[in-house]
Amino acid sequence: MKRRHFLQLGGFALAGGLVRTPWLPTVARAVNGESAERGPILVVLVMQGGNDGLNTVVPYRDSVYYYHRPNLAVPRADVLPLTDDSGLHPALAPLTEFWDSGDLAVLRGVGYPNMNLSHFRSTDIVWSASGADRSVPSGWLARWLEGRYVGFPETLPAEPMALQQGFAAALPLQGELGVTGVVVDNPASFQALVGRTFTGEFEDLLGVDPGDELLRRVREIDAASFAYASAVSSAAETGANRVSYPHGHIGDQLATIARLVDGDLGTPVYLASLGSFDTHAAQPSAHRNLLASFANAVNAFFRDLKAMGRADDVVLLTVSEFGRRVHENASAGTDHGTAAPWFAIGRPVLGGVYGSAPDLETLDPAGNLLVEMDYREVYASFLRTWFGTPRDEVDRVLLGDYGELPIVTSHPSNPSDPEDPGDPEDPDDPGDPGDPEYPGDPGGPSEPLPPHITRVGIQSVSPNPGGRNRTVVFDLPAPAEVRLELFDARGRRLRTFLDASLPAGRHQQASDLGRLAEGLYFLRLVAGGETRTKTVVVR
Amino acid sequence: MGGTFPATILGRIQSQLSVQTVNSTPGQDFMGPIESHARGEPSPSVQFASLEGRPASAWPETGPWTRLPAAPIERLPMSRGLSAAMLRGLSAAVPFVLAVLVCLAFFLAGAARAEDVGLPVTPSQPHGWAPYSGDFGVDEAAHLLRRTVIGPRFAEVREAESAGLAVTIDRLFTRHEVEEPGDWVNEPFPDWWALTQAQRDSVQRVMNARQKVLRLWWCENIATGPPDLTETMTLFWHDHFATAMRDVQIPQSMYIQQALFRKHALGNFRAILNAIIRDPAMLIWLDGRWNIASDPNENFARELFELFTMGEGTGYTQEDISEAARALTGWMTDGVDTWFASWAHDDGEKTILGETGRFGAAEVVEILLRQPETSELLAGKLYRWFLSSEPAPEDVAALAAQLRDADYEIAPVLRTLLSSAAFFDPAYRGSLVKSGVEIYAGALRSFEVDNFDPGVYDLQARFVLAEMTDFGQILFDPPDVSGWPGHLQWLNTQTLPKRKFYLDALINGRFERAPLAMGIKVLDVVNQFRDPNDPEQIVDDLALLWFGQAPTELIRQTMLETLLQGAEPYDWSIELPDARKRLEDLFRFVVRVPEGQLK
Repeated sequence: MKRRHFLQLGGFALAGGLVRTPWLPTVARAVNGESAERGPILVVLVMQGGNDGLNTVVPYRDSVYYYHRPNLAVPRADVLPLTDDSGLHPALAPLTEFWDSGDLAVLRGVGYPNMNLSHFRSTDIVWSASGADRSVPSGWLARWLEGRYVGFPETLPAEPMALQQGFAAALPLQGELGVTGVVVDNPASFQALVGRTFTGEFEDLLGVDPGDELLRRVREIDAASFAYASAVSSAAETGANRVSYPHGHIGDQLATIARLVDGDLGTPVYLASLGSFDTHAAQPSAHRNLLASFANAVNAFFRDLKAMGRADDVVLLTVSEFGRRVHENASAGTDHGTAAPWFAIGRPVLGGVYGSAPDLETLDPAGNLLVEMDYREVYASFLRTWFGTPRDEVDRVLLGDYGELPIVTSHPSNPSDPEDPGDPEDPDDPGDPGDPEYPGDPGGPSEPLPPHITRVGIQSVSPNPGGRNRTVVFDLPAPAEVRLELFDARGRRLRTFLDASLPAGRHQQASDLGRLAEGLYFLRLVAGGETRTKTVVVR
Repeated sequence: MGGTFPATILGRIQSQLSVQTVNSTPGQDFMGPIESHARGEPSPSVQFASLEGRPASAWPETGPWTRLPAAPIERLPMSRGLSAAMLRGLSAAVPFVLAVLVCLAFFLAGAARAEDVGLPVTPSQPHGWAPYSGDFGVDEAAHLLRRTVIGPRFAEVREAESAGLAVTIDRLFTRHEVEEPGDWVNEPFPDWWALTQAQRDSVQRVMNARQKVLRLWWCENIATGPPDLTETMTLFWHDHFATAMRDVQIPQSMYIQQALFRKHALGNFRAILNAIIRDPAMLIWLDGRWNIASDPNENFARELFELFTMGEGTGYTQEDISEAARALTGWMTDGVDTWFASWAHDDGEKTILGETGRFGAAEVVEILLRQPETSELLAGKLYRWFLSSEPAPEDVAALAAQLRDADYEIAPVLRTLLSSAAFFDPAYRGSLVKSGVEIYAGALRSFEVDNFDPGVYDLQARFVLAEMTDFGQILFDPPDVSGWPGHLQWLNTQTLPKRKFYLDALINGRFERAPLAMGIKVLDVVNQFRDPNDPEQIVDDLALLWFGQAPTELIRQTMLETLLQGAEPYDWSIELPDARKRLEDLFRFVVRVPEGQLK
């Protein structure tokens, strides 16, 4: 393993501990040109202990669910329906506004083959993106970050590549070459803490290296805290929360993350955690409170980001090591299970329900659900689309080739995809559309403004599923600049149907999708700073 | 090396040190957990604040142990046993339990264990267990005590050196007794359903206060106890059978479990297992009390296999877990007493790991002890705890064989390990990371911090409880049932500066700008050194005590320069008027050096 040489960072390490160097990250940033552009950010929120998926996204029309959960089932009347076959636990009410605006993706039946029912092993698997049959000592995000920052670990980026809040597990940020991020509980005071206790780079001053790998690692941690302290603390000082967060651990973590985002910390990955989902006993109240803490904190987080004008830059993904047994146990709880739903939330997320409803009549011998969706497909979707990572790099990070799901758009800062030459069999697909067409009639208000239009929304796409000709109906509560665009599953823009200034009211837009391969596409409406997305199925 | 050392750099290090010294004085910013409450919200890192639903800055007076409110409980109606429904109701009725559940996420690291993460896993070559026959000098004595006693003092190292290896080992295997934290440890838990809301609130307040008492009581035992293996092995079992008070809640239960670990600290693993399957805290923590014949709860059975005996991925199946859960049914607890309820026990035939019979809990223990994987898991854990994080499988297997031959007696196996040639191989000096306890309680002991009396000094109680939290090792509250991940996972960009900050506060004797009424007694420490009037000897002995090995020449030179501050070595005397101040500067530097995190 190569050693880090902090001296390469403009010689600051030589002065490390001798003088404070608050200028350093700024200088490094300016050199890197990073401050000019805001990149995509992923927040991974882990629900530790194994979240009960069936009581989170409830199959409220399935009588088998009510048969298996005589004491624990969420009453049908309490469920917040999303679709005909699934709805949210009532404690997740703060998430419904994201559903309404197309910013909540529900990924059903997430897991991996032969799921391991040990918390510890399964958590390792999910963090390392490995399978049940293989133990990998590095985290998937860390492997990705190592590939993204060429030069690591010999040189460190000016800002931490990842920042972990609220829990101390080492695997998520453990790369193949080194530790790729920092754990910081209180960013605002971090620099003061480090400044008071950091002593200097003793090995590098005279090139003394005792050849002790463990000691070298401790020194790396020591040096990393110093290297990032100023950047983290100044972002925390610059940034400010615009809304108040619910009292509690997860609210504190998300408030901190939002504050750092607002302070323009160039960190692309944040980790947060909420614990105690291991509800073997007395589940109803405990689970309800956990879901409420989660939903309230997430609601505040995205309201905050919106107020900061950063809602287009951040997506949040929930993960959990497994779901829980279909049949409840005698202690009003549930034992360890397998597949469970995960959530992806944020304006760039393409809202909807993905994967089929849990099949409660086809269980494994232990009485657990079968896996519908490999969790690595979810990771692949974020790496590939949201971060614009080349496919072979995604394969390297995820230790295999996994398909993607159309759950998120590409961040505007991503370079256009050099791998995409367009669909050679589709003359209407020019690949990356540099020069969008404006087909169709922008139309006008086809009906007077009904009194109930209070928000931007896509009312319908019809027919859906269907062929190339569709009619899109959408609402504008006020006059706005409007764009109506079609994206493919990877977040590439294929068509622009509308780019015009329109009055308030309900509008109807005839749209020719062109010849498209069968599959899922996404219609996005951008109006007055708001974005709405609707899934379009082409048959 | 010292002669070639650039004076300018040394000067800058010195000036940095003096700047930091100024920073450390009262009036400067404190960046600890209390400041994070500026927004009036509890810090995620201060669990106790969350426990009580209020900021840590408003902590109640802990008060001395003896002045704890005990009266309300004694006047309450008692119940011999709480039914399952009652205890379930208890959890539902106490709102703060939920707050705790939410807040403990910070500690539920849960993910990777030390052997999975960290350094590339390159198991060392097998070395066998031949006894050590080399010199037992001060270096060896320091190594042995640093690995077996939490926070050894230098005087103890010198005593060990002069007593020799065999006598020192015998002394280490002497178990010491401790006083109970109060009479309340035997108090029955009241019948929750017979209480009014006001009485419940009162019981809860008492429980909260006693939880803190218990944590500090153990810390005090570690900081003041004799130099033997009792505290270390009690901590070992607490880590192995990791049970968290934040869920169990009842402080009596946690004390009963602690007493069990103390009693069997150097005893027999079979005896510990047989006690743990009927331990009140464990039956609450892993839902054993809910495990009844008509509907078994697997939680305890699973962790019994996965974490306490065989280990994950050693060949048992989900079916084995389900069958063992049936065999474990019927054990009930009220938090203090445990009894067997035959109505709740599944008396039918079970098949576990190929054996069939009408098994109960004791038979499950015997079946598990017959599996070689159980001895290997325990041997491997002892190896990683005392010797190295990267054991060679052959050496673990040999240790496991001895454990089986000794019918699971711990002491003979530990004796083999601690008196082996491998243990004293210089390659293993500084090959383990100090745990949080070894910093916060170990420094109190090593550095002669007297007057540690958190029952009297509220600030001391807050200080130590806050640091337990900051270091990620709250006594009686492991992050989850797998215990503390340990080794390199003790350290990250947050915990490492926090450790240094704590030691800095101990040198300054101040916390939150207020006097702690305790601090590191540098003169008392240095007067135990081989020659307190020889600066070189002070530097070497302090390095031996805190680093466990000779530091790099650069660090040694910096230590010397920090002590002498421009004077010649022959000018130094421990009697100098400013000797204490100079020694404090030296300690202040030493506790910041990364080498001090290793043992």
